[in-house]
Amino acid sequence: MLPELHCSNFEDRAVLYAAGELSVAERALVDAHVRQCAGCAAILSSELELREALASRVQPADALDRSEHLLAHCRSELFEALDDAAAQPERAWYSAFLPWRWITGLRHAFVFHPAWSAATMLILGLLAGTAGREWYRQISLPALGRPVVTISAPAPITQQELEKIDLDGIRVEPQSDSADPKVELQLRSPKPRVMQGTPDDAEIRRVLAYVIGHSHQFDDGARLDSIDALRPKANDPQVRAAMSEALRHDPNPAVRLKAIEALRGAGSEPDVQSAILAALAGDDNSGVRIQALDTLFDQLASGDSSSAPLDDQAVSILRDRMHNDSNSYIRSRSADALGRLASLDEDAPSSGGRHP
Amino acid sequence: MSSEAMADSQGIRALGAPGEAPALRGELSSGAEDRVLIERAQSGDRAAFEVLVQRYDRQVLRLALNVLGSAEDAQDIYQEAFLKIYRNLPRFRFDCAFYTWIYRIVTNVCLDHLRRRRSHPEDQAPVIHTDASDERRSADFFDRQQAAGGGESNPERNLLGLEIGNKIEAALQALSPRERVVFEMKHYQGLKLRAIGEALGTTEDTVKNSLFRATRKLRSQLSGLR
Repeated sequence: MLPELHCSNFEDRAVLYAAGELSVAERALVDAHVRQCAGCAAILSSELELREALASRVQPADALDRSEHLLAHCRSELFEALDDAAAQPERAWYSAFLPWRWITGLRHAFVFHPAWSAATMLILGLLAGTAGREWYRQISLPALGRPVVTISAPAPITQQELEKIDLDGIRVEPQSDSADPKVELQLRSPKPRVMQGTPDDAEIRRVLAYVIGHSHQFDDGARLDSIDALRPKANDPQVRAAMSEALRHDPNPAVRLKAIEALRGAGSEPDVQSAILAALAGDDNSGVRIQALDTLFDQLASGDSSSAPLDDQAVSILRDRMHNDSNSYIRSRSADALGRLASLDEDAPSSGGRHP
Repeated sequence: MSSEAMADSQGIRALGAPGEAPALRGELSSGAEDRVLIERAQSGDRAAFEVLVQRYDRQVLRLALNVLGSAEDAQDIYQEAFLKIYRNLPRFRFDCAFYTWIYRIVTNVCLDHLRRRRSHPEDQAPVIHTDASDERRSADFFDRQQAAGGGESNPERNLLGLEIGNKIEAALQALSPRERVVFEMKHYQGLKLRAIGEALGTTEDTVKNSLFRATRKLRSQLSGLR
């Protein structure tokens, strides 16, 4: 039963009137009201116009399936689906857990949703690309028939073990902030293990320093990676010694160059200075000699008072390079270095006139 | 009882464009005939079920097409709804009219689809507009000029009709899923509010309020047309 008709509730009544939801008596009341009330008559007229406009709309159903081809197609698909359903035998409750049910379901999903299948293939590809490498590494280690031990806090390795170490790989992950890089050492022997940590870990540092200093035992890549990993710790005596050793004796000039670069911050230490001078005097690679000379020159130019003073041997080496080096840059740069030394001597009140 | 009176007695009065034959008139046969078919379908008679499908599926597809505006989505709705009807038919207990029961399932599927479309618009098939709009949209300026010059119809009137059609489409799309379904069932399917309430599992008053809200929104959006 509708409430009594007033101007205040006429709008909703007009909606029901236009929608054909009023009884004959209710319609008569509305008709009588609009004859007396111009405002409500306008509302009703507006409602009927709206309805007429909506009725004149071309309905999507008429536009999309005027010839009922879509209806016929829908029927045919539905009856086909019903046939399929009828053809399948009654399934036991456990059939939902059978693997071929899942495979069939996936096959249907992929056939009818190519975007899903593309996305799934992409995800599988990414997983294979990222996790596959790790998985291969994991399965390749037990191939030796030994269990794999992953140790986050590295266990001490004896000197004998170090001498027998066979490295499978070194991974250095630089950190976004200024923190030390993360290092992962994959050892194949004496027993398969993975050591993880940073150069702050003494055991990691010890192994890496050992790798740098033993070119006959480890390949070039391992030595270069080890220098990269230990670069932030070049002031550590053990690291410094290993890098100095590499600078003097490593057969690969790239390793020697990298060692000089890493030692640049520690060039004031006597052992480092000695190694740099040795490289300048005797390295057969001009790139290494130039790097050594530049490091020496930077040290002189900085006027670092904490640096060890260059002795007569250094002056002698610089003179020799100035006259005899095959590289013109080294000859002229050595002369600059000697000039710089002379000016430093003049400035020093206690100078004994050692330098030219 | 005439077929029209029968339709009205079941809460259905087909409306639509002026002059259009009532959509459901003639589609509905007597409840007794339906009952026999339903009982036979419930006992596993596929042919009986197919007859039932063919009695009601035209309106189901129309509802889906009008509400979703996409042939692809409407096909999905049709398939999903009738498979549900088939699976649940043994549980139908004749406590409401069969068409009400069908509409309950169809409107639920439509509402789910509309809600999904609202929350994931990027996953949906594009809404297809009416042929008239498409033709007009695809033609370039010169084509339109030519068509206007050579056509027998009044181009200004055509353009106005197109503008009105587009505005009505936009206004209908702006309704909430429930308002959209109620409006469609009332204005284009010709169902009585009581029947819509039964189909949506709610009261007639609630449906009435949805219709009022929908009408107010449409009136506000289409006010410039009059």
